[in-house]
Amino acid sequence: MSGGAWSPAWLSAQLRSATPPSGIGLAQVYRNTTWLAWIEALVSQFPSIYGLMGDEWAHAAAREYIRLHPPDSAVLIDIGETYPSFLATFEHASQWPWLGDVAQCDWLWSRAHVAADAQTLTRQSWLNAIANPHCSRLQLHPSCHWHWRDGAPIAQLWHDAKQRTSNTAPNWHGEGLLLTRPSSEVLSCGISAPELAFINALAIGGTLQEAVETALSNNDASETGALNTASSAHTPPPLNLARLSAKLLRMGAFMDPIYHADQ
Amino acid sequence: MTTTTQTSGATPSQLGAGLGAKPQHWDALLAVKDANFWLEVHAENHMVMGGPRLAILQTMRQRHGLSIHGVGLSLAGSVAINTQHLSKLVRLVQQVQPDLISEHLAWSADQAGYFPDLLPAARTPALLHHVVARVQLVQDALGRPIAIENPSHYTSELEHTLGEAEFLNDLAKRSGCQLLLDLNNVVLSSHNLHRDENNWVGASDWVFDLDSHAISEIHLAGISLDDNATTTWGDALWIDSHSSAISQPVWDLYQRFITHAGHKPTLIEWDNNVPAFDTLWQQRQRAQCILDKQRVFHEWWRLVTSMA
Repeated sequence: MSGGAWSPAWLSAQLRSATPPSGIGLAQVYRNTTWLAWIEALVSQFPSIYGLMGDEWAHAAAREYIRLHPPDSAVLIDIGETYPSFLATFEHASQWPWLGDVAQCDWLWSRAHVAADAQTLTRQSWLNAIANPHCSRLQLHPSCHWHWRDGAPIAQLWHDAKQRTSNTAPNWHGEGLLLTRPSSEVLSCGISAPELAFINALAIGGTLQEAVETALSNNDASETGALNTASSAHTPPPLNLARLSAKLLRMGAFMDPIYHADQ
Repeated sequence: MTTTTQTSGATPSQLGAGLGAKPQHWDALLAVKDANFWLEVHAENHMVMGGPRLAILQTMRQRHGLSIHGVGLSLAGSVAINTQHLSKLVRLVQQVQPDLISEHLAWSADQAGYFPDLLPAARTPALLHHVVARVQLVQDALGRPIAIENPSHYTSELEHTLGEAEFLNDLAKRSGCQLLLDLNNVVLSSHNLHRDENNWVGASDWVFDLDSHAISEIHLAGISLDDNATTTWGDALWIDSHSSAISQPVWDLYQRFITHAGHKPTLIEWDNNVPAFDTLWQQRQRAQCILDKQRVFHEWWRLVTSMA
């Protein structure tokens, strides 16, 4: 195939160009369709960014991202993995340093949405696990995803953005977001630093006992840190293991069969 | 977890008029009772490991016929077929067991990435040879034939050396594939490329040269106008946007083609500016009515000829 007008190489160059090349002629029809599809797909992948920043900003940012990082997947729900990191350093988003984190929550929501189906932990399996915490390893559900940013109430910011509400006085302490999809609906909730430590410990293959110890030591550090700060309003709630267990079971964060007891 | 789905029990030849499925209409689609009703979805929207996008297809599949319509294999492209993408298609087909599978005579990928569009290629013997091999590769992976859709045309600058009917007939014959005849693509291409503003409608009659036995599905859709690009006589270019009701020239060609070729499963595509379900259903019923009349006529004709 030659490189002349309407060859694939020629058309590719017209389509990827950030601005319409002169003399593009009827290839502009394809260019319009291609860019529209890319931009609309990316904007719909990140509804919180759309809700927070508005239609014009969201479309302009999407266009700039696509110019720099042309998507390479035919599956549009899989595009945009690096959009959160792009927003984190995007010059027009510098007033909102947590914007990339909010976008990351959208991305993880979509990963939970399309994750493999799996049976969640049964009550009996949970009881078996806590009977032998030193050798029980809980496996996280395939849809279980989470995000954390030190010092930022990510879950609160993300929920507000999704609902297009503006919380003028967010409780500005570190709060991560946990996402799961035990059946058809993606569920979400906030997690504290000790709760995050608990999940991280399980995710890397730790036993239930190791996860509890990690969470408790993280809780001690958090409380010490809180004592050294002036405002108790910014203090995260102390770790409550029973409440954490109930929350994670309700969220369907674990997969069944549950645990592999070390012999 | 790999699951397979119980099917509706209708055979492809029994499928009547169907609709392109939109998520906002899932409940209405589930409630349809017509035995010959069917749905088409874009394969790429359901290439997932699990979750509601897959579950709804498996639910729909138990009630209605189903077609999986791919837009990402880039069959007319020069880079190798993406084996990961093909594997995802194979998995989806195994999971939902569709009645029909189709793709496009177009390209959408190059060495640097993927374009979310169906890009044109000049119809030449070399392209025919190339696409035959790629269609066979896909069919071997799936273990069943697929249907290939004719493209929309916006420019007369591509240097085609084979006619469209000739190319598609040879493709079907040599690869064993079926054909998906998109009559909107045919009509809008005639409008966009033909040089005689008073006779462009007749330029669609090449479809009667197609091997009608190879056609497994027909698409009907609406267009939008591109005021920035024009035909040779200055009319706004017609764009295959699937964003409006089916135009009268497409209905006219459809009526003539069904009379010529007999019953064919027919899909109403309306993907953008999607209207209320009732509006879509009216379009579907209009196509179904044409199919029903053809079937009655066909049965009457068979009776008459058997008595002669």
